Amino acid sequence: MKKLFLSLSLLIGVGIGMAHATPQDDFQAGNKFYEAGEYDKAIESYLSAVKQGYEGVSLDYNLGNSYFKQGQRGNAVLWYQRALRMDPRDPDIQFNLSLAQSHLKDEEPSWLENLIFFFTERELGWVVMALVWIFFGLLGSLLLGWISSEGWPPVVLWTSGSLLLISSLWFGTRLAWGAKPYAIVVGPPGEVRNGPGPEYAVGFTIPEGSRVIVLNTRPDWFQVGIPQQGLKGWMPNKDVQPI
Amino acid sequence: MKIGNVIPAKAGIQVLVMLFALPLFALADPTINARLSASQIALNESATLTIEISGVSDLREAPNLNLPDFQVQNAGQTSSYQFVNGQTSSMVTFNYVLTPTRTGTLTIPALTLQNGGNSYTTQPLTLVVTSSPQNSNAQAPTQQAPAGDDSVPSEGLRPVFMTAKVDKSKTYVGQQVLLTVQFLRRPNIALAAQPRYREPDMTGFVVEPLKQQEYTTNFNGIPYVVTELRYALFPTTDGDFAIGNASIDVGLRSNFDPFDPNSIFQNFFNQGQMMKLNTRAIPIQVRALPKSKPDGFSGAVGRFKISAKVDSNTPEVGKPFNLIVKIEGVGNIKAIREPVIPEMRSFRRYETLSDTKINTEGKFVYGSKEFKVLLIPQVSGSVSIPPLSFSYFNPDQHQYVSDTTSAISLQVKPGNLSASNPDRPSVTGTVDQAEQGIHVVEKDIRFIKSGKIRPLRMPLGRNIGFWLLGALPPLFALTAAITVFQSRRRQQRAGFYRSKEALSRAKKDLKKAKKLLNDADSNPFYGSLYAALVGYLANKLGLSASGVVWKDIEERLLQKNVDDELRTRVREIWDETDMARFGITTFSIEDKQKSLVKTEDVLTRLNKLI
Repeated sequence: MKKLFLSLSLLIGVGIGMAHATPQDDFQAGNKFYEAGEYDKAIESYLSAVKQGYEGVSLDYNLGNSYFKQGQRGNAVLWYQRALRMDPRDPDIQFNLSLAQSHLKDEEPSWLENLIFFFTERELGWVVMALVWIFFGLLGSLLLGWISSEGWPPVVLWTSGSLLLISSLWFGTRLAWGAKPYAIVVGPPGEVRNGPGPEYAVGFTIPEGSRVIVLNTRPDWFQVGIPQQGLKGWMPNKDVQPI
Repeated sequence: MKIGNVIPAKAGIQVLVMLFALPLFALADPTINARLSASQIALNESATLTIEISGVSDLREAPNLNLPDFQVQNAGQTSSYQFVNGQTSSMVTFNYVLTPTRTGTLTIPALTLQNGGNSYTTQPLTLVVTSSPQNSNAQAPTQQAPAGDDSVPSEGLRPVFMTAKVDKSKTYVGQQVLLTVQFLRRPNIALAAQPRYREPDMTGFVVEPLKQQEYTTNFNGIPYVVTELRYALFPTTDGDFAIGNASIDVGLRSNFDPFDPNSIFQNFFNQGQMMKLNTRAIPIQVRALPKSKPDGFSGAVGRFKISAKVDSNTPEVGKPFNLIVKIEGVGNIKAIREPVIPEMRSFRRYETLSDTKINTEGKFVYGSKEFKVLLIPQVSGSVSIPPLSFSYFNPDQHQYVSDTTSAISLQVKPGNLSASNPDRPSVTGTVDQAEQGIHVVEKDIRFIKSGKIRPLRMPLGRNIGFWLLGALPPLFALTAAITVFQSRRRQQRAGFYRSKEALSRAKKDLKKAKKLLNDADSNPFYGSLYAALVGYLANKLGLSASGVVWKDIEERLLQKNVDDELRTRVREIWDETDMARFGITTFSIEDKQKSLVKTEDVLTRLNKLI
C-alpha cells in the first residue's frame, strides 16, 4: 500500500512537472522510482535526462543498477562501462560491473588496459597540459635568458620533460584505445550471423553483456569482432550498443 | 457392528481376487466420457474430474493429463463389469482431484484415448475459478436420494444381500467419510459364477480404498459370510451429494426363492440362478470450512503434527543437505501441500521432493508426508532454520489448528562456496571473510548514487581549444629558440647583415627626409639625406658612420670599381648636404627636391655596384 502510494505520488508529481522537468528533475525522479522498486519507471526517467544531453557518473551508474534489477544484464554492463569511463577508479561501479558480468567468461580486461584506463581522458589531458606549460614555458624562458640556467630551473626542466614524455604517451594511447569502437551485446540471444541479414546462418552465439568491437556497419546490422577469440560476424544493431 | 471372527487377511485377498476377476466374452463399443464435480469453485478449493471409459478390453494406462492450470492429484481408479444377455460391458473410471492455481475460466481440453488403433476423445470442460469461496450449493450436484439404511433387519433373513453405509452423513470439505459396502451370504450358499461388482458413483469425493475385510457374523441367529469393502471418501467441495448405489451380479447354485428363507432347502439340484443385488444411494451433506482461515492453510483437514530435522550433522558452506519436513496424522495425506518455508538468506534453496506413506489397514487413512528441501549454506558460523508452521482444520474441534516446529540451529563450517555455485561472483563473500566473522547474507549490487549530473561535455581529445591552449607553450619556446638563434647568427656575421640592410636603412632616412621637405629649416632635411648617404656607404663599405671621411669612402669606392661619374655625384651630394647642415647655403624647396631625387638615384645605382 505504501509502495502504491509512493508510486502514485511520483507519477502525479512527474506528470505535473513534466512540462518543466529538467534533467536534474528526471534524475531525482529516477532515484525515487528506484528506491520504490519501480525500476522500469526509473529507467525511463534516467533516459529522459540522457536524451536531454546530460551525463554524469551517477546517472550512468544508476541506469546500470536499474537495468540490473530488471534482469537486463547487457544494458547494465553497457551503462556501468560508460560510468567507468568517467570514473574508472570508483569501487562501486567496479563491484556492480563485476556482478553484472559474473555470468561471463574471459571478460576481465588485461593489465595493460587497466593501466591505460586508470585515469580518465580528462585527467590525463589536464596533466599533460600542465606539464606542457611547465616544460615549454621554462624552456622558452631559459632560452631567452629570463631565468638563470643554474640551480632549480634545469632540474624542473628535465623532470617535467620526462613526465611530459610519459604522460603524453599515456594520453595518446588512452585516446587511441578510447576511440576503439567497443560495444556491448545488450539483447539476447546473442546470435552472430555469417552475414548482415536473418537469412544467413548463425555462426556463433555470444552471451548478453559481452564486449565486442564494431568492425563495419550496414543498415540495421553491425559487423562485430571478438579479438580474443578471433571471431567475427554480424548482429542486428539493436542488440549491440556502443559504449 | 462387527460380530464373529475376522477371516485372515490372506484369505480375504483371495476372495477379493475372485470377486473382481472377470472373464470378458464380448465387449460393447468403446466410449469415453469426462465430467467435473462442480462448474465453479474458489481458488483454494478442489474439484473432481471423473473420466469414464467403457467397452475397452485392454486398457493399459490412464489417460495422460496435461493441465498447467491445475495441481492434479490421482484419486484412484475403479472398474465395473456387467453381463447382460450374453453381452459383457465394462467400465473403468479414473478420478482426479484438480486444484486450480489461478482464477478465471479454466479449460480442461479434450482428452484422447488411444486403443487398438482407434482414438476416442472427450468433450472439453470448463471450470470457473473465483478468488473467494462461492455458495456452491447452486453448483453442487443435485443428486438427492432417500436416506440410506445402514441396518439390515429385513435383508438379514435373506440368503444373500448387500448393504452400504457411511459413518457420518454430515461432514466438512476434506473430512474423511467412511463408506462401507458389505456383501453377505449364508455359508451354505454356493456361488455358481463369479460375482460382478459395480462400485457406487462417488463423484465429488477423493476416494482412497481401504483394506478389504472378510469375516462371519450372525443376524437373528443365522450365520453370514461378510465381504466388506471400505472406502475413505474426502469431499472436494461443499454442498449436498449422494453416494450412488453399488450393485453386484451373483449366480447362486441352489434353486431357491431369495426372498423365502426356507426355499433354499426346496431344490438344491437346480441349476444356478443369476440375481442382481443393489445398495441404496446415501446422501451426504458437505459443509464448507469456516472462512477465518489462518495464514498458510492449504486445505488439510484432519489431525496432523509437523516436525522438521536436517540430515547433516556437519553442514558446510557450499555443501548441500536436506531439510526434512514431516507432516503426519489422520486425513487425506496425499493432498497435503508443502508447508510455507520462510526465505532463508543464509541458504540457497533448491527443489523440494516429497514422499508419501499412508496406511489403509483400519477405518481411517493415516500416515505421513515428507518434504525434502535441498539447502546449500552460503555462510559459515551459527545460522538457524526458522520455525515452520502447518495449519489444518480439525473437524472434531470445528476449528483451525496450527502446529509449529522449533527453530533448528546449525553450526556451518567454512567451505568452498564458489565450487558449488559456479555462477556466483567471487568478488566478495569469500571463506576468509566468513572466517573473520563477516557473514555475507546475500550478494547484490551496490545502491544508487545521488551525485550531480551536468550537460554533456565534448571529449577532451576533440576539443580544439584544448589543443590550441596546449600549442601555446611550444610556440613560445620555438619563438625563443629562433630568436636566440638569429641573435647569435647576427652577432657572428655583423658585417654581412650591415651590408645587407644598408639600403633599407638608407630608405628609412630618405623617407624621413621626404617628410621634412617642406620645412623652412633645411638642416633636418639635409641631415636626413646625409644620414642616408653616409650611413649607406659606411654600412656597405664596413666603415664607422660617425668618423667617416671622404677619402676613406673614395678609396673603397674605387676598390669596388665605382666609376668616376658616380663617385662625382656621390661627392656632390656629400658636399651639398654638408653645406646645408652647417648653414653655409640656403636652399629652396626645389633645391631640396632635386637633392632628394639625386640621392635616391645615387643610392640605387650604388646598390647595384657594391
